[in-house]
Amino acid sequence: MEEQEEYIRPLLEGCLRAHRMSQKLLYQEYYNYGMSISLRYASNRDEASEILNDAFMKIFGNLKKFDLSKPFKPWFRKILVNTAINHYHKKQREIQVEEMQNAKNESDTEKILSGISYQEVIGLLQKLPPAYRTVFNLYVIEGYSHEEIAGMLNIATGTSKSNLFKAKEQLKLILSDFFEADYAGT
Amino acid sequence: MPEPDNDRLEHFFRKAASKPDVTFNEEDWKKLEARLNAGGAGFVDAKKTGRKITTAVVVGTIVLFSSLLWVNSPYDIVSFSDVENPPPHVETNIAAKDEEGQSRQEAGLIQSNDDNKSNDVNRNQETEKISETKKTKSSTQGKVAERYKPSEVAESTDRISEDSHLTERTEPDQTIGQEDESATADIDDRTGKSKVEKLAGEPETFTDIEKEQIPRELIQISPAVAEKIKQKAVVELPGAEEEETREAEALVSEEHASDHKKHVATPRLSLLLSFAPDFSSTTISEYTDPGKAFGAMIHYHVMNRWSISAGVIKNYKRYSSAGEDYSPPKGYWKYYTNGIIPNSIDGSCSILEFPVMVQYTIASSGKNRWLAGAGASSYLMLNESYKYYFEEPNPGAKEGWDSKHTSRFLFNMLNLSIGYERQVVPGLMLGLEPYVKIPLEEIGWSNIKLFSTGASITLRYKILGQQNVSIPNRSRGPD
Repeated sequence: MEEQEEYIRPLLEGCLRAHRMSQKLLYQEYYNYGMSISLRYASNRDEASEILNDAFMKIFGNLKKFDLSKPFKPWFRKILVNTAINHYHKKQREIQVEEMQNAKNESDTEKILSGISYQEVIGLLQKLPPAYRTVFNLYVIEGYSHEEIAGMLNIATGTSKSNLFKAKEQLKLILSDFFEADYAGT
Repeated sequence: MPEPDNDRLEHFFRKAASKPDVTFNEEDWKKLEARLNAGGAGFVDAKKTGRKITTAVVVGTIVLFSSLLWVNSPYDIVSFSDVENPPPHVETNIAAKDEEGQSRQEAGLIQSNDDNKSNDVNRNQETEKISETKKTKSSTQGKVAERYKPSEVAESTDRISEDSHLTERTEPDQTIGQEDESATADIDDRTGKSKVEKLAGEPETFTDIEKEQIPRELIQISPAVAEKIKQKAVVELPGAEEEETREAEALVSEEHASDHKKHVATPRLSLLLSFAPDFSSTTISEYTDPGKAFGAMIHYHVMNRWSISAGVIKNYKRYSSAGEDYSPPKGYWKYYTNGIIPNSIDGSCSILEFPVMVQYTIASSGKNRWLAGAGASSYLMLNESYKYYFEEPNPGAKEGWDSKHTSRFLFNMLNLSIGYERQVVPGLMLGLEPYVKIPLEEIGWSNIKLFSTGASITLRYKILGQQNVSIPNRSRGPD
């Protein structure tokens, strides 16, 4: 971790001086990590890159507030997750809650069964409605409690629990065959 | 079909999320870059800061100069062009001074001994001035005294004696009174004539005599010359006074002329325009073709030899050096040149420079001045351009790097200069100022230490007149 931060530090110092090349190198350095997070919250790749770029805009604009002696990665992750949540709020106002039936597409299930990849896992998550997907990510991947999630998303704790339950049910349905093949008896 | 439990599902997704596999998409960066260029974070910040620096420098300069002008307001402000025609300017200036001073003096002198004590004190001061005038007369071999009208001399003598009487009340003035008498005696001894005789027929008034005392305050005759004059006056016989007077006047004139030469008219506030071929390099030894630098500076002459200046200089710098001398952000060579550092890199950049300098006048003679200056500069990097050269073919490597966004560096350069200036026409000085700029920190995306050297051709234009007034020798006129 220290080595990584030592490597990042000159880039951050360059970004503080608004060096374009430093900005690009930092972006490249954290692109993979950042997209892996934003893809889980977004409905598609374009939206994921939008979330990532929004997060970087915040980072470049607020880097002065960041203590360079502290690890950058957790700060970056926090900003990215918050940006994803902001996108969720924005989307909630724009679109209606999607129906669950989309995930029941037979061809998708077939694809999963043939060998699931990272991209496909992300694809599965992206098929969930934003409300379910966001709660699932925050609870399962980020490790937040339902109370914290309720506070972040401005929903009731019960709603958070309910959304998580529905998300899992949907994913179970899609992955049932996969689990039968790979995890039966484990 | 066994249904996976919640823990298994969560474990599966956590595991998948911990092994991201996303390839970099240049298009995503371009979208972000477009937002940054359009005024997003960082870019805007730099621009705003640049504007802030510019505004701060301009406002700071104005405030500084205004303060100094206010602090130094008692100084004479004489038109720069007047130096070319000194007699009128001196008279005009003195007349202006006298307008306020004369009425006060005359009022003080005309008042009787019955006046209150404060008036007496004022009059003591006047007495001192008159004594000074008398001394001037003595040292200039009766130059002033010759212009007295008999009646005015009588009047002034009365005043002096009256004032001498007054000076007896205060100890410090007693000495002055005594000197005054001896000075008067000197004149009589040397000429062998009464003052009334000598001054007969002269058209000037007492006010003119008063005028004479003001330049006397500014003209310092060296003790050696004064002594010489005195010795000549004592040794030589009466009757040779005319020749003796001329000789003495010549000596005084010489003294005045040398004084005048020593004090080159320096404008208190001036605008300096400069152009320089600018040689820049990342190391002290390697220089490439010159860039150029245009600048405008405001100079304020603080005191005799010291002046301060601030302004802005637009630099176009060119430099070339080995790839190892450049230190771009870590990972740059890996990403863009297949990990190979270019053998050489040609760089160029546009910079707005904000120097703050202190200058010292080393020497001056006639219309010439030699200066030395030191200070620091802040850089606002406007754009950068680099071209890479590889000895071996390096397919896929970038050929260079261009950036048009700004970055700023506060007081990152130490400036040292020496200069020569010569007045070409009144109010205008032409100069040559070799300089060296030593980096205090690295600049640019490649973090280079950019040394610069060159020689500025300068044109100084007077905004306000000179601070120190040098009184040139007045021609006596027909006797």
